Amino acid sequence: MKKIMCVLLAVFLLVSVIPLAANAAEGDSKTITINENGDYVLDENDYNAVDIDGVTGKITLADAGVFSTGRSAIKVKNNSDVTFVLEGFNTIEGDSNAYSCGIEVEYGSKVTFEGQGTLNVTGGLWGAAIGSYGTDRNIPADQRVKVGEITINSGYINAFAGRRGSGIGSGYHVDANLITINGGVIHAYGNECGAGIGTGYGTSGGAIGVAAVGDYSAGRIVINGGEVYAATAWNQGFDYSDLAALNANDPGTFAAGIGGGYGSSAPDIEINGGKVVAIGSCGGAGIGGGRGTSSSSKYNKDTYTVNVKIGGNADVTAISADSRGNEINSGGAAIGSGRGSHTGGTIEITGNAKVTAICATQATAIGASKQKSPVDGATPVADSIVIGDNVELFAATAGNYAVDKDAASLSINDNYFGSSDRWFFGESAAAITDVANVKVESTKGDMTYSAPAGTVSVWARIKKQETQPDEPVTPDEPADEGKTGLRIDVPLKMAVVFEDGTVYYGGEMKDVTVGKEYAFQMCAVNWDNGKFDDNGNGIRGTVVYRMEVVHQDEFNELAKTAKEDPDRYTVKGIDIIDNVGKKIIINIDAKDTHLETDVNNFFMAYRFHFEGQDYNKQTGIQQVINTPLESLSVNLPLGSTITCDAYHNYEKVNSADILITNNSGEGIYEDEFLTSVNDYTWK
Amino acid sequence: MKKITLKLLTFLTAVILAASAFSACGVDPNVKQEDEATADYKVKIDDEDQETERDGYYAYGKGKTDPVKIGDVTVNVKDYAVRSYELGFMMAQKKFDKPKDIPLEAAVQYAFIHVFYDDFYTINNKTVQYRSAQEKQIRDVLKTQFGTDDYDVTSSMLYNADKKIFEMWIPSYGTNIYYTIDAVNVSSDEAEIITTFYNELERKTLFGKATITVRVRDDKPVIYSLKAE
Repeated sequence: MKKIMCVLLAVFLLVSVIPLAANAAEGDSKTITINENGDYVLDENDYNAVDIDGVTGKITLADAGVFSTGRSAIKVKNNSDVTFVLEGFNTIEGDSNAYSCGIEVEYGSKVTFEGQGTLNVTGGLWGAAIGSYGTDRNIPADQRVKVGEITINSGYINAFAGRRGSGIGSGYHVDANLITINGGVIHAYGNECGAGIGTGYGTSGGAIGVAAVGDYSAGRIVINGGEVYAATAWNQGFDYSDLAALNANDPGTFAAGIGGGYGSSAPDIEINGGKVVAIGSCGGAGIGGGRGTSSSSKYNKDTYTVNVKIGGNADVTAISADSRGNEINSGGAAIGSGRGSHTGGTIEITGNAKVTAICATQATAIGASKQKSPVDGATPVADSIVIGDNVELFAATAGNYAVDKDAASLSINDNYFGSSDRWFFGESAAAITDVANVKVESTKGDMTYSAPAGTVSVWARIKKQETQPDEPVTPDEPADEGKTGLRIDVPLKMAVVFEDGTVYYGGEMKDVTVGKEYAFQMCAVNWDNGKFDDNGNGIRGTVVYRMEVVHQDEFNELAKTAKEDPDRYTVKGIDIIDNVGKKIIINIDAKDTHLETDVNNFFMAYRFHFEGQDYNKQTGIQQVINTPLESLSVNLPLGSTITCDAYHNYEKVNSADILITNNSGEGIYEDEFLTSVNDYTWK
Repeated sequence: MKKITLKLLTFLTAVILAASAFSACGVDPNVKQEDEATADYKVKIDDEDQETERDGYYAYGKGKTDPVKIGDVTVNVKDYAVRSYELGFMMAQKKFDKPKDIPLEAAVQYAFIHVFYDDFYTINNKTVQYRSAQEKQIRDVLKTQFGTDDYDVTSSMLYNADKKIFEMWIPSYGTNIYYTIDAVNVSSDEAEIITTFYNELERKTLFGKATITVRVRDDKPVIYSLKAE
């Protein structure tokens, strides 16, 4: 014991005296306590546990691994205010057999994530990946575990909830607090009725004031930038291009993608910018409340609230999926409330937001679930819906109103969109083709989708025909001529390899020269270690892509020209994609500039299915997924040939080779919007 | 043995010349390059088949490996056994009844590689290898291999319509191939070559089987159909 204490003391002195350069893990001990202000580094060593106790400072995670037993891997407590600087590839895992988190943020403490590295963080039993662990049911709100504040400014974060936890937020039977995302690339997955971002499993209904639906809250969630992908289950992925398949993968989590877990409200969600994809399921909203109840005695009408504000230049896709065929008539809204609630809440979409809202059931896409209210048996409606003048909206549902026409208060500018009645496409998309200033760009025939029951009766893109000129991009700071840094963003589990052989993972910075062209290829990494190399880790694609960074003025000129040829170019504020030349021109002066490869044409997401149910059946891919997984969806580079193996109870039962191309799977997706996903079914 | 030595010297000379010419160059995507010599360059001979290959990877053939004739046209059945491996397993094309049934991307990628390499299994890249090819080169290979270039090749994902060239990062397909040609059935217009592939030289465990048919077009043998499993 003395020896251990000596080692711990030595470690403590070392990390305290040599900030920044210190290696906090010395000697045999892998349990670290940091309890003095300062800057620290957790390097490539593996640790058993880290406590951050009453500290204000920076903790750099540089290829660190923390794997705990019986507790959270990292605990931030006692009013700490720490910034985790992400470098390299970090793995933090709670204990799946103990109430724990990957990174536990105790109430009163704050954590901020920065840097350009990757963080894979997994919650333990009943715990969030980042946030709080869980507690037993029927604990009054004032006695529950609470969670601190979480801010993400940058980095590449993959947050996998433990059972009944959220990806980022709270654990089982716990309220979330304040979650702010300003940047980075975040994939957050809930687990067993926990939201991707928000609350964990709240309740299936209990005593009002204690454990009723609505007695748990997603707190305040603010997204100002970055790329945020939030789903309710690890295996659900974000392949929303095919809702039928998404439904098939739906594990029945009853939670929102962003917002409430099962039985939880979402009182304050604000999305002001960035790209957001949120997938709720089985009665949970895409963005909004979790699934509720049909029982009035288990529903707290005073506390179940939904408030969602989307504005600025936010690019939001919200999906409510549902695999429970008998509930096709009443799932959760894409944006709004979950099934079994009394209200659709308040929804405000303004600014230049671009919103895609798809409801796989017959709830409204934006508004209320249409399951009878647990309070009075009436059909619930939204309290208030505001759609701003410059919003681009793409809404679809399997049999209701795209926008809840019965909302108690409704505001839509008729001057742009014609009669407001025309917003409610309850009959068919074709019904609106004669409305002035409304353009139907797509009808249901373009959508590869077959609902479990019924069909999509609404499938329309609605926007002003006269597009507004893009807002000029305000540069953060003019970049110097010559070399500059560029962040490389990649699809999940992929890497970019440049012509000189250098490999870049998501969030890593590359030195680039303005005006120089760089050729690169896409590669899948080995899921076991997150690496790509030529020694059996990962697999290369064959398609040659190029990128070039330019300054604002040149970008504006190029964008102006490119907009004249929309068939060839896709123009965005940050980049111009030349679909003919397979080249991306990047505005180095744009805010949050980066190489954006997590879009169509750069990869193919493959979903592996088994005929019949998938349980106890796994798929492996040589060099990519050596440990076979169930209900697999994997991003693969175009032109690669994969050898995949099917397993039943981890015993190999089949094998196949697949050449990965745009149309190599079972699906036929002609719409550009739908081209990056395909299916393979083991027979 | 003399013949083998001569082949070796010829190839080594070519490799050294190529390596000298390009050793000072980076990988310029716009410059067509030759293969780099690899340090582990070597030639081996299968005791039974006298098969020689390069770069550390070899195709070991057994069984009915003697050439056959369709009319007056000679068919090297070992070449087509290897082609069936390339198409069936490296390009994942398990079945086509005629060349036009081959998916476009598979046909173009297969042809692209054969512009630069006689055999896939010798490709032993240790890093990114960029290549570009003209449309005519792709079509010429398609005609040579399949007797037809009736593909909309410029709609392939490998085609850069801006530069009007085909481009590709060449994968490292390098591997040893262990096969036994079980049967060669020759008729008046085609030869059917049935091959079993194994995981090891001792041929203990099955890798796969393939049946490829070869027909004659313009007095040359071409691939017509394939079934692999």
